[in-house]
Amino acid sequence: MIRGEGMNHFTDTRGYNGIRASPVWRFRAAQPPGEHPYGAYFTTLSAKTPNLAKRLGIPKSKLEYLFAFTDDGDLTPLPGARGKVVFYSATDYEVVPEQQTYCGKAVGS
Amino acid sequence: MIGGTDVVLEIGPGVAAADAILRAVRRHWPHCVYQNADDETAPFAPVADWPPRSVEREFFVYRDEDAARDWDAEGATEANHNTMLYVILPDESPAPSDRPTVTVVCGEPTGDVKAILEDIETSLRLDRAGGNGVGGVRGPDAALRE
Repeated sequence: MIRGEGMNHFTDTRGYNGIRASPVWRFRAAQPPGEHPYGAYFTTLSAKTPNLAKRLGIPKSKLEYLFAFTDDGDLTPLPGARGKVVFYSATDYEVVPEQQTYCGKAVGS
Repeated sequence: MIGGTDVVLEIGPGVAAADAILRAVRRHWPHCVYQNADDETAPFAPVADWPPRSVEREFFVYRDEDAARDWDAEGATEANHNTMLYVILPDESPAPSDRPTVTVVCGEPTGDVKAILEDIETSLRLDRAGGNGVGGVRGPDAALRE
């Protein structure tokens, strides 16, 4: 099942170089700050969303690069209202080339 | 790629949520600054008229002008993470069976933010005549000047 909308992962230079190093993107699950579940996190918000860093609660430096893909509908919404736009995988999440749509500078951030 | 703590609070019947939240925050942060989430113009000046006349479904409230400037320049940092609340009010038309909730995103629920969240939670339970309990996006003349 394809969700039908683009999923985005924003990161900094280090994260960008690590993820794009292999043909299959591998987003590593980790414990985020706050009380969020352990996981790899994604959003349907685009780089042009106003006040994106504030909405996601991250430094602006983490918005430098973007990985965009079409997911399989297998990501879990974050509890609460942000769950409409923020999703996570409780384990490492892989994206095959056929589902990859963009990686590079996050234009608009 | 995610930060903050998402606190989900129920809105009691008849409570104008935005008004209740903004008044609660102001009691703890007297110099707080408001910004609509879709507005990227500088939100740096506290306004005398509180709450603001135009309140959207999603908004930020900063502790003060310095916090607003810092968030605008850097996004979230270790130094500023508990100086802003991101408030998401419910949709205009939730399912009839759904109890409306508001999501308040903070750095972590400690210190004065914990006190603010407790105040908001209490305020959202209060039954205030005239509110619709959903959205709570009302002008300052609606409930605050009663």
